[in-house]
Amino acid sequence: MISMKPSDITFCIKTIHRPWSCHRLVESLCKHIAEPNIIVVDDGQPERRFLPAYPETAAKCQVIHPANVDVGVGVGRNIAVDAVSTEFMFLLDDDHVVTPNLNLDKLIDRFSKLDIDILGVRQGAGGRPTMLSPLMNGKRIWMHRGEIKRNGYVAWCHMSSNAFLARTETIRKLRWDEELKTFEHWEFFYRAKLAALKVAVAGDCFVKHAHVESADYRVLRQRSKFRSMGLRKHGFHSMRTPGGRVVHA
Amino acid sequence: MRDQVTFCIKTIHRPQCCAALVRSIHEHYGDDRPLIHVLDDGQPELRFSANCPTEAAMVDRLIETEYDIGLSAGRNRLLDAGDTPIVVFTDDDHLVTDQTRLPELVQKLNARHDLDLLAALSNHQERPKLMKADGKRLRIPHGHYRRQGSIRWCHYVGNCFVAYRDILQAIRWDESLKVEEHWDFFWRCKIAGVNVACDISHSFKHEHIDPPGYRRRRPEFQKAALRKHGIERVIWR
Repeated sequence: MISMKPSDITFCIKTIHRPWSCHRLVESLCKHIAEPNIIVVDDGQPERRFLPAYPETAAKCQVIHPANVDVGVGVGRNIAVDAVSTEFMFLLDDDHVVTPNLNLDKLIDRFSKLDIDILGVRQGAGGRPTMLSPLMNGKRIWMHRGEIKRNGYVAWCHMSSNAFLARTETIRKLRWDEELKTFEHWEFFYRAKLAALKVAVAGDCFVKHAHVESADYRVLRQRSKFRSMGLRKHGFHSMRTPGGRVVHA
Repeated sequence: MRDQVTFCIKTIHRPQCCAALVRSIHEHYGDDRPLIHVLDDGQPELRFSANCPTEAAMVDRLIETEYDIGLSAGRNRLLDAGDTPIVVFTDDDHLVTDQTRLPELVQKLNARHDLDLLAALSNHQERPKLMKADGKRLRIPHGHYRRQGSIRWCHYVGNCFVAYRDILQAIRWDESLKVEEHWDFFWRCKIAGVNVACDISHSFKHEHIDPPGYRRRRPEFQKAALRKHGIERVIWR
């Protein structure tokens, strides 16, 4: 059985141009977890970074500024994971907020006792257990709600939210595809499935998802070319989304 | 239909029923019949091949497994045993009749992008139903949420349907549930966003016969299915 304490976990956050949001997340971590280890990778333009905007909050973290601006979520997260020195890591998006509903003690207990490599938490109403099923002779990938098996509140599946606990070594091996600046989420979990990693969601553990959108953030995210790139990489010509829409590569 | 459709039959201890179903497929569709795959998990002396060798020779694949693997495991193995894009599932005590019009049912499934599973009626029963979570209760009342011609889009249908094999392989039947698997399967279809419908102008004939030793009520499986979804009761209205 694994022995894990909160101090064995590093919280990894990649942020860009949402300093207030990142500040809110870091403060929420510090409020609910005693002396958390936090790494923030900020690839924003110098004048729009988290550190100069919130120096007191930033002092509670290890803040890394990549050499280039807008390196993308894949590169940014890999930089964060490479900088982790604890055995375990917890990934967060910069618009998450931690509350007592994270139930970190329950997460640690389950991760320690159950056969799990990546243990995700619910993200408000989202982050439910999701499956990635190939259709049409492997030409279409279907992202749909579903689970492989369940033990109480823990459901094994193929994909969780972006708020998850894992061994640092597991994620260092898996990594994020650095060419995918966005639309990277399913691709990361699809490779986890190919690598036969055990992904699960703890249905009674939550982060708050307080999405912050700014005009330029929207431009940064809506990059259909990255969606196509991720799909084509695995030989898919299209994706069926949970809403039933089919998007083509 | 052979290159497009496989008729999948899971049977146990009802060899005469299975034989009648196989004959009905041949009688109605002749050379244009679908492939027929039968999975039999019965005791050796009660097997389809032992009791009805003529009809057993009329199927394209006969899979005989260890005893009583259950309906869910049997159907999952049938899904994985073939490669046509479309499958037909019925119970082994159903029969194809003039009202089944299987090629037309398949053509309707193929013609629309918003259908994944299209059921027919069983006699005049198994009409379309909806599924709604109501607190700790799961309600399954008659109804549909959309209609076009004789097609009713709904959440829950009977045991006779045509569907895309890959969609069913993504959902699969829960092998831990030997009975009570039906609503569990369709509830998971709903959650996953499978497009389920029933065409009320097509039907299979059903003459129910309980196999020897068959127990319809298995409270242990009912409890397991309820617990799995965090509900306390299923209300059929």
